[in-house]
Amino acid sequence: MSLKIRLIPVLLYKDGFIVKSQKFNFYQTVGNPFEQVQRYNKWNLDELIYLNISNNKIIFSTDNNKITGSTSSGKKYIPKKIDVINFVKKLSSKCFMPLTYGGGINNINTARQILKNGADKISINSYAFKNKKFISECARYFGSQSIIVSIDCKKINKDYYVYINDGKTNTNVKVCDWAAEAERMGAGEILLNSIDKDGAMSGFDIRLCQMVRKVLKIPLIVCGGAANSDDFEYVIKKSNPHSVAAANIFQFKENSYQVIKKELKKRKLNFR
Amino acid sequence: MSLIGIIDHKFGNTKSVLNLINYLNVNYKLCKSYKDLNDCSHIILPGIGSFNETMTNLDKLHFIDSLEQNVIEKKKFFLGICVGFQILFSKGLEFGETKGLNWIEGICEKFNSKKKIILPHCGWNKIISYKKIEILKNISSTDEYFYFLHSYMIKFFDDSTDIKFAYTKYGQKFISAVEKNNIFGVQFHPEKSQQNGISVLKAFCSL
Repeated sequence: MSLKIRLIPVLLYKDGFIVKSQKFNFYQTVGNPFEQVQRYNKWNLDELIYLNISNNKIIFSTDNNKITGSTSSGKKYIPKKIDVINFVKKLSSKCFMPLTYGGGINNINTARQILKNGADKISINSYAFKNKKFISECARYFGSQSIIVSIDCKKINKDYYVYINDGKTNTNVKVCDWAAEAERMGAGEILLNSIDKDGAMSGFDIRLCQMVRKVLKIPLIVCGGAANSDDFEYVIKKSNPHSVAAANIFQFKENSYQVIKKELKKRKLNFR
Repeated sequence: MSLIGIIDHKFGNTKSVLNLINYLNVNYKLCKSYKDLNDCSHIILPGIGSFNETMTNLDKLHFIDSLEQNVIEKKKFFLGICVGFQILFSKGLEFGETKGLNWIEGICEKFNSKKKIILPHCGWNKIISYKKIEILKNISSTDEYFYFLHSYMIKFFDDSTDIKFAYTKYGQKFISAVEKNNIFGVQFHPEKSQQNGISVLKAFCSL
């Protein structure tokens, strides 16, 4: 019997808030960074991925900063910086599920502290691309199972290219080449994000998922484009990933996770 | 009055277990010294790391004799998680052969890599034949899944008079939970298994 396919919500943290993202360049504030985790904790999730996508990776404490609407414009507050370790400590304190944290991790010591303080895996992206040995170093210290290499990519003509620095810089490297290399360097999993599909709600980029799945032996998490159960079913049947992830669709509807999970199980897909 | 002792042998990740115990609102004590175990009624050994590393650290910090006294002689309730479960057995083969606590006979070895499986065994898998184990009896048969993360395992063998095993399949059958008198062990991570995990730790703390 094989392992269950995991349905993974992704929370995007940007400058003090959880945001909804579109094509990596339009962001809408949707909630408080800790409350969202606690809400998800009641949903019996398979796993949670939490990514800091702030430009400078600075984290602000937002303890007294509850918001209700969908926009933060005009809101005034004085943010207080807190370090990533305390942030993860607080995130994990009521998070009884596998937790991945990513964003700005660029040294072994920070990685170690994040893993010691309640995260189970770290996700590394731009820094891993620029310093490929960092992947093997992390794998050696913490084991491959704790290392997710996250890859953002964009379609240009017929090929898919890796983008780094929050999707701002085209590396001109093809996505399959980098995915295979990340695996060789010791990545335990690949998180594949399609920038074109980000926030588009038009389904996964099936061809992209198939291509990357073919070059990998390690588990693949696909992300970007999911709007409903059909999209998940289609990408699973067409490209056989180990996990399916999404951010936006779990943000707005109450109990959306359970509803989608139930539907996928009803369709005899291999979910928990 | 129960006092739950959580062993902190520095290299294991105790934080997640501590978070869940904290959430359960029970009395607990973080046991950094072997002497701390004497005050506790229940002992939890969380585990992340290798068999070898865990045994070496426990030995260095004099926990092994103290565990024998508290768990075997005084019969305090014990729960080993992941590697904390593996070291209950006779020996482990991770990074060379290491002697375990030897409270239960068995060898902790690597999954057979000839089977077409990805290692580590990481994700949600089903436990089978678990209803007889006291701390698992409340798990509903509609959701028997727990979160696993490991590359080494103890091959499944049949129950004996005083030992009860639950198992899980991944290429082969391996032991995913055990009960022997006052001793419990689980290969999965209850602290990461959402509602099911909360239920297991709650059951253990209420023994």
